[in-house]
Amino acid sequence: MVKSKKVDNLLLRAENVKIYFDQRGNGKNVVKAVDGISIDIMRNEIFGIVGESGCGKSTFGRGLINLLPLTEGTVYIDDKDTTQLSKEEMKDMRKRMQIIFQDPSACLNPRRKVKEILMEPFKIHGIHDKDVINDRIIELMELVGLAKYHLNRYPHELSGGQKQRIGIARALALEPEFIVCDEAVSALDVSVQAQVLNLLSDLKEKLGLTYFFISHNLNVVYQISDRVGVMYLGKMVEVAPYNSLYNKRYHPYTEALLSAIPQVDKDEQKQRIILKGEVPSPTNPPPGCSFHTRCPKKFSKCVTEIPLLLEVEKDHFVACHLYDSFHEIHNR
Amino acid sequence: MNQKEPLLNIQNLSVEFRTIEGTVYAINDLSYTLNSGDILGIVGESGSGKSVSSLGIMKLIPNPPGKIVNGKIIYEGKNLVNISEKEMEQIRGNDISMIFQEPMTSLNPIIKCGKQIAESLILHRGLKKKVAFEQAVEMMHSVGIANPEQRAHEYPHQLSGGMRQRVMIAMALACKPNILICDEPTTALDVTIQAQILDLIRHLNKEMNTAVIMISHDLGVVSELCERVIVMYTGCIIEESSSQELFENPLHPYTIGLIKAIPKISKDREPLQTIEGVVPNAMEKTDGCSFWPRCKDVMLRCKQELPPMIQVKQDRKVRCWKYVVGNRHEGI
Ligand SMILES: Nc1ncnc2c1ncn2[C@@H]1O[C@H](COP(=O)(O)OP(=O)(O)O)[C@@H](O)[C@H]1O
Ligand SMILES: Nc1ncnc2c1ncn2[C@@H]1O[C@H](COP(=O)(O)OP(=O)(O)O)[C@@H](O)[C@H]1O
Ligand SMILES: [Mg+2]
Ligand SMILES: [Mg+2]
Repeated sequence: MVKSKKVDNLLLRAENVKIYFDQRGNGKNVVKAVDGISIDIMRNEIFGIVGESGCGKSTFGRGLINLLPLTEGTVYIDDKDTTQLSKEEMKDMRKRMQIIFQDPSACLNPRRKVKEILMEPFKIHGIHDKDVINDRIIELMELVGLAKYHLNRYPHELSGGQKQRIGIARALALEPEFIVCDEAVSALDVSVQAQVLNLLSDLKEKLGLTYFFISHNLNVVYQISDRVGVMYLGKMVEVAPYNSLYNKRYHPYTEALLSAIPQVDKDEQKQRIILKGEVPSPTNPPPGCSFHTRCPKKFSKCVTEIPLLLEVEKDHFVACHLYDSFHEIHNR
Repeated sequence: MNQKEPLLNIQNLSVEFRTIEGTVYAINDLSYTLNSGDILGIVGESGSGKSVSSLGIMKLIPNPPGKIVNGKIIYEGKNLVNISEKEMEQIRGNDISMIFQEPMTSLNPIIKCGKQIAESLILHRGLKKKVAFEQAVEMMHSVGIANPEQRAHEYPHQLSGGMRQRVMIAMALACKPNILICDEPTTALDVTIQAQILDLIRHLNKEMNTAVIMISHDLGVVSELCERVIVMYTGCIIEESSSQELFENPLHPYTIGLIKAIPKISKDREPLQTIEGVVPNAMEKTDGCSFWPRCKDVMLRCKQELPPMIQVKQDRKVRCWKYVVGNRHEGI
């Protein structure tokens, strides 16, 4: 699996993470939103996640930073088991881990001025020194490229891009190390999206940040990420450096996903693989490989045996029976 | 010239919204033509007037506050701007149909899918209930709904997003309209489902020779589907071209910027370029080109005079002073 070896520079390790929603509390109709994922995230890396809606991207992202309890498995940060933290340790961890959402308006209180919004995180964490806060807020505004006069504005007086910059500023307030970006640019127009993507990249370099970058838009994830994970029905089906994923696209789902994205560049408009049907329900995923019901390349083994996420070449992991022999060769 | 009359001819259309805060200049002097069997793309960022321009064709602009203040919309020799609501009811859904991003806005939640499609056939084609229902089921089959007999007896909320979009397309196409206007029909769908729907629209255009107006903020969608493309900015058409040429050799500085700002999936990843600044407020009218405050190639004239649509060659128009002889900077 992706983990196992001892890695330098490791920030976060997820081990066999499962997050189930038992809505009725009777063990029936349990939504297996995240169903056994293991990944490593390096310091100062952008780990991108793609997959269709409902595949568990947001749930996994929240699980990683302890905003949702894990049903099974563990998340280690700096080798520390985050499922076993004391209250004090948890509070400290919260400062280091932040999240940015798709719709900035939803998390910006409409009756508060920008300045008050940016003061909230300091108050929550017991920082009351006015001068310290003021200096920091001015610094934050500079970091996200907003003029100071915006501090006296209300959220509805700002454009979508400006609101998202405030969302980013607030996430950066307590100098976090790790940020989950959950569809952070999905609601923005192309020209603004480019500005915010570049801002996020710059901040990562400047502040040594690490991102878990979630988007349903593969173009965006490809643009910003160092490594990319592809999710399907609560499982990770492929993990690779961005260029290796693009060049190899081992998993039939990755291949279909990449081919389905409408491209502007006519040279990239290749033959499209149109998958039949829709994503099955996560309450009752198909047996074997959960993608087999839509897979154009399935064979008998896929219906009965769950494929493991295996390294088929250096740093490239795939969960697909087509490559069972690749893994053996790679590990020889 | 003795050319064949276009199917739809929009001339100098201007639409305003008179609101408490002021007048919104939503559409400014819009002109284009659509021929039968065409697939025309309209792209632009949010607020550029894509939806209002097509609501205008359907005579669905809310009035007040909206008003067509100038221009003609000629369809089959009739100026739709002047005809009565009664005449328009004959055209709407029968000659010209429209589908939206969110199917639930046009589907009635308390009427079964089959019946909704049948109603339009009863209204426009005068069919008997039973025959209309049979045709509705057939239509559902032809838009790729599996088990149409069963689905016809289900309510919209019982279907997935992709299926609902298919029902809406079936409803829009039931009377075999001459024009199908699609306003961001796949924006809320996953890419693999989007691929299915785009394929369906392309197929229906060929099969039934329905002219399609495809509105999207996604340049990829337009590039893949459309033969001809209109680019909008602040309610104006700023460029019109064959899709092939537009994406290979964009002319307007805004179009050039927009294409460079899209994250692309291609072999060599390039840094994203951005267009500085933001789209101006639609309540402010400038004398010059509305793009000049963001334009890299701005000249004095751009600030003073709105450039006309300049025909640079056959099927290629651009609204930019750079391309006026005497001002020309670069070859075409
Ligand atoms: N709080 C919850 N209760 C029950 N089911 C949930 C909850 N949150 C998410 N889910 C379900 O878990 C699955 C994964 O959801 P999510 O992580 O939001 O997917 P994504 O972000 O990839 O679109 C979906 O089937 C969703 O309906
Ligand atoms: N009902 C309305 N009242 C006031 N302004 C409106 C209304 N509908 C649209 N507008 C304005 O008209 C302009 C064009 O909007 P629209 O056509 O919806 O843009 P697009 O579809 O390109 O995103 C925008 O500035 C928008 O705010
Ligand atoms: Mg999500
Ligand atoms: Mg619109």
